[in-house]
Amino acid sequence: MHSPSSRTGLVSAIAAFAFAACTGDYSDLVPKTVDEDPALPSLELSGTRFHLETFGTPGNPVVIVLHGGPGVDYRSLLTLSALADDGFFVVFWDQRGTGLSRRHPCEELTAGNYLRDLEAIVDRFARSPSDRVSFVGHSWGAMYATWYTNEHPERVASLVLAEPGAFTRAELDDYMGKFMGSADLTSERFNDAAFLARVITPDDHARADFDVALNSTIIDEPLGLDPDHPEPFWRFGALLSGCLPDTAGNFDWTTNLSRYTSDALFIHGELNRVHTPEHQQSLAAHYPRAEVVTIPGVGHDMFSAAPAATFALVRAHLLGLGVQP
Amino acid sequence: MNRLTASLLLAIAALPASAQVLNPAHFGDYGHLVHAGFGADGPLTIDAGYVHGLGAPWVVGARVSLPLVPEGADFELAGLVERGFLSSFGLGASTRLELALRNANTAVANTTDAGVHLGVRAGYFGERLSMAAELAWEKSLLAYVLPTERYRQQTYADARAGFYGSSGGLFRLGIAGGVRLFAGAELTLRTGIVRSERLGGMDFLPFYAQLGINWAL
Repeated sequence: MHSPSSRTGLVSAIAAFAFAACTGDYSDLVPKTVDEDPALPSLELSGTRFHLETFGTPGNPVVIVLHGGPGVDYRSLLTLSALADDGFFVVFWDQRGTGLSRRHPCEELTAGNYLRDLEAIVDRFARSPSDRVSFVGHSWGAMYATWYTNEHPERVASLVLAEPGAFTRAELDDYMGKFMGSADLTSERFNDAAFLARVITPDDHARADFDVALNSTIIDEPLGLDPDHPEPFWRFGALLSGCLPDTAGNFDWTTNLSRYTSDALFIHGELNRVHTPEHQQSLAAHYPRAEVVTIPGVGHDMFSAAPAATFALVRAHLLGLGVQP
Repeated sequence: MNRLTASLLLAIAALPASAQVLNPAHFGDYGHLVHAGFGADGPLTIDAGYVHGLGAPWVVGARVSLPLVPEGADFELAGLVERGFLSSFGLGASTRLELALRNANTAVANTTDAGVHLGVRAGYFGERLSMAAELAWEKSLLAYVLPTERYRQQTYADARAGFYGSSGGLFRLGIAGGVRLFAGAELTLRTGIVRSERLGGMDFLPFYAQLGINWAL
């Protein structure tokens, strides 16, 4: 015969088991990373494991695609893989702590590590130590490409920069002010995100990543994104956007750009209310030779909302055919 | 002035409006008390509540809170029990337990969760005026997450709909007070900061400010 206390313990144990059995881990809500799914294409480099794919024949001129965020991934940029048909060797990679690449704690998501990662990627895929590579960067990726160009202008053959936000700390502060100012506190999307922030507290990586995905729609309107065809992404590395900028200090990635003497192509989406034509012109002015081209009818998501037009611009620039206005 | 600043000022300017702050000095008077409030807690919110006195020092009640922008699917329902501890000088404390059911509907997922809120206020609770420090802890215990088709297409086709365990807790630290306007009516305020047990980065709009009115029927 069971005592009341043992019965209570048994019921509690069964309840705890049933509770554990019916609840899932938040990793069921975000895609697996290279550490969780060995079948994903990956590369061990720079002290981490990147989700990375290449297209084209090794030995061809190298184009490195840099995704935005910081924190998103290269999924929305995969149309650029067709550059392989034009004789390029195209490298896609999810940056440290983002997409399907390995997760890292905040202290490893530093500006120093980010620069070293890109230097390692260039060194790994360039055809020789003096080979020059081309970059196609979207948003933060365009800032990242500019950062590398400022550090190593002799290693850069060509640049396509799609709506970068800033190249200096002062420009970034101004940009973030405009970005925050574009938020509409009375919009449904803002209220959804704000209300949800009191519901899910992201206390682990997967929950934090899902939380960011939940809030991703908050930027749709100011950036002019197509609500019917949302820009695809695998995983927004939640920790990165909070950790990386804090380690960049009072950066200025324009001090050496005069040594980059090739053309830089800036691509702008007409519907974007944050990255305005004037804003892009002001950033383009940091380069000795740059041109800003606006794609009509799209916003910051030009690679997924107008893939053909955007690809044509990138292709023409990289092939040296000149920009088609 | 940008819209963000304007909206924040709007929220603050609306403070002489509402919040469910109870004064244990009146728990014996609370036969039936209704509450209406407005403020900012994440989004701009409106709330309404009811409190029934069980005879000092206990009250029970319920409230509903909604984002100011009506959508119909976002809400918080809470049942509460509160006990006051008062000295003869009006100094004392009040402890509250809430069980809450919330729903947050977004373009990416619908999340329904059940959680527990614990709060304590300590300070002065007089006949006409109360002013207390407030410390609260909120914990979501169980959530049902239903990813939308958009999320499956945009991000993760295999995202699992189902129950998920508790997320991190959320702390509030602030002040709460009230002033009796006339017999049966009390204007209340609570405001403070929010800190969560998040992995990194800033909490989204990490403050709260709610004003309300309590009306004894």
